[in-house]
Amino acid sequence: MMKLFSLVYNENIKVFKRIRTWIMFGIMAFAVLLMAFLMHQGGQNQDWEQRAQDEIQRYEDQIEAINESMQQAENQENSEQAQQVMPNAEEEISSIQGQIDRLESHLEEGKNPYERNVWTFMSDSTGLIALISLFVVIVAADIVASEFSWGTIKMLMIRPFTRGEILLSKFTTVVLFQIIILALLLMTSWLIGGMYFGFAPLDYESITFTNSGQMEAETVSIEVLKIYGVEFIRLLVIASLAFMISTIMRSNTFAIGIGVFILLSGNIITGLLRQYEWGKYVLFPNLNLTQYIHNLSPPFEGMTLPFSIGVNAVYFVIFMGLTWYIFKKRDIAG
Amino acid sequence: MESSSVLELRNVTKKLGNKNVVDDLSFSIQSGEVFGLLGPNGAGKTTTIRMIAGLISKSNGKVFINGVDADENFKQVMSEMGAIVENPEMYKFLTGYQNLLHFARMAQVSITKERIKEVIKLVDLEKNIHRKVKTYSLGMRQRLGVAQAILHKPSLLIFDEPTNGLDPQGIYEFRTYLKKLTEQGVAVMVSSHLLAEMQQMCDRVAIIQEGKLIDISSVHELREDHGADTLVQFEVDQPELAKEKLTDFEFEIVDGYLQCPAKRSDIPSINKKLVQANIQVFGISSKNPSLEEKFLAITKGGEEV
Repeated sequence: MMKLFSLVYNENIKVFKRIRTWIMFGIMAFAVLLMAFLMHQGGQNQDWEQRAQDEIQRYEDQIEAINESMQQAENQENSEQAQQVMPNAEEEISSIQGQIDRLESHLEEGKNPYERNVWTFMSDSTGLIALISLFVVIVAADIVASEFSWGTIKMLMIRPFTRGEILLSKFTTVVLFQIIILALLLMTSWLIGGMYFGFAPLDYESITFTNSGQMEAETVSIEVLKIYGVEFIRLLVIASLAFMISTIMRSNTFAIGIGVFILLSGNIITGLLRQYEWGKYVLFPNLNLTQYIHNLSPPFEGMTLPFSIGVNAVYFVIFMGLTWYIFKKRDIAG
Repeated sequence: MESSSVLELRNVTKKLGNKNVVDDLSFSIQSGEVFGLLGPNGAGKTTTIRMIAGLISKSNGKVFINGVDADENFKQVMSEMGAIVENPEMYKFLTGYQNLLHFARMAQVSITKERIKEVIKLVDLEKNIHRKVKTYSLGMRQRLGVAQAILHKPSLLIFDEPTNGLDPQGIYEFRTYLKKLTEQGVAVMVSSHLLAEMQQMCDRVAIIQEGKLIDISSVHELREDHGADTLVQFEVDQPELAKEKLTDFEFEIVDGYLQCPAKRSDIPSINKKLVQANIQVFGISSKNPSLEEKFLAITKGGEEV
């Protein structure tokens, strides 16, 4: 057990002694700073009631525009084709209407919807986890493949450790990296958000309105933690996929490519799968776990947070099992 | 007999496609011995070493280290082995010292700072050990490779083409470490495609070609006088004159050198006679005919020798 700890220690040295890792941390901190700066610029000194009115006006214009184009299409052709022009016009209108209702409720209650503080900033900056995902994919895709490209794999494999133990130490290091970089984002967004927008008590609540127009008070700090939690699970599964591809293909570029493709194309693939009943058992729709935190309706009926976590767990076990099986049998040459 | 061998190969075979890259190889190496694996490029030397080190699977056969089956107790076997397989690749973004710490942490026994220091001194890297490996010359990397292989005091060392890319000074130094190590009872296996080098370095040499074992010869036996004639070459100013004057020897002139088969003990007397005949001798060298002939035959003209 102590010896396994030494392996993990070694792997961490190899991650953190590389300049690349520190560049990643730098880019992340810079992104947080830039985001805070840009948000700070965006109309802080304007009267919030006026701003809400303007926004409502903009939404109403949008609805009108959609209705008009629907009408035009209906006049020219039959309604079936109109449906094709705007397949989800109904949905879109109702979602815009939801925004209008929300802002109107804010005006009625006299609560500023644009209120910003450290917690709202942290909630907004969870969007930067997309950037972190990219970094995690790079590290996961590289940790085995780089030993091959450096030629050090032979030095590593002639030690008194089984191949399974070597793999375990490497994946543990990926998970540690993921924890560290998520923690860094959490801390920098708290610090920078607090400095730009002011610190607020931990139990600060924001008012949101559900689709049915009900008012809900939410403790933002808890919501932020939930998002980090589910994103951690998502990253774990994507990292295991990149790890598997790089171990099987021995090529980090290929593994990084596939990892990034999955990060970027998840929504498109989910859209394509929607027409199939079995689509909910595919990995992609289940990777988007934040939809449950934001109370959005999932793309498939019967999808819940525990269901998606279960599907993710099954894929994770398959990816890791395959990696282990193939790496154990592989001839290490070249 | 098996129990005294540090390394033993029994019928080791590697099949790739329809071809046996290594074909039914059996030999054993004793403690304190330097054993050479000699063969042209592509003869299966590296493949054999990879199988011993567990990097690739064997299609058939067994490898024993100190009597332990490598397939059955991989961890134990690996803790008794140190190796450089192909080039001594290290982590270039780490210093030499950090590389050694990295490998020391992976040993079964705990390796003290003093031991690391001792090894650095042995391979003469004290001055550069805290520099990043990317600044190292090939010779320095090779020495660092030797250092990582011997850190945990293994009983078996395997070096694949250890003198590749080394200058004469580096090769000389490498032979010096080998001597120090074998004096401590370590068994060493080296591979090379260079005959001369193997003769200088090894106690026994196995010649392999196309994966098959052709012959195992003891270098000492051939070097010492066992009644067998070796080929002796004299570099003289007038080879023709010498051939005429000294008729008791079967002299031949090859590339301007005077050459004849002779016992090792005869060399001083031949030299004396040459000098007495007023022929100037610039150099004398003896060659091991049997090993060289075998090797030349298999390397087809011996362009690489």
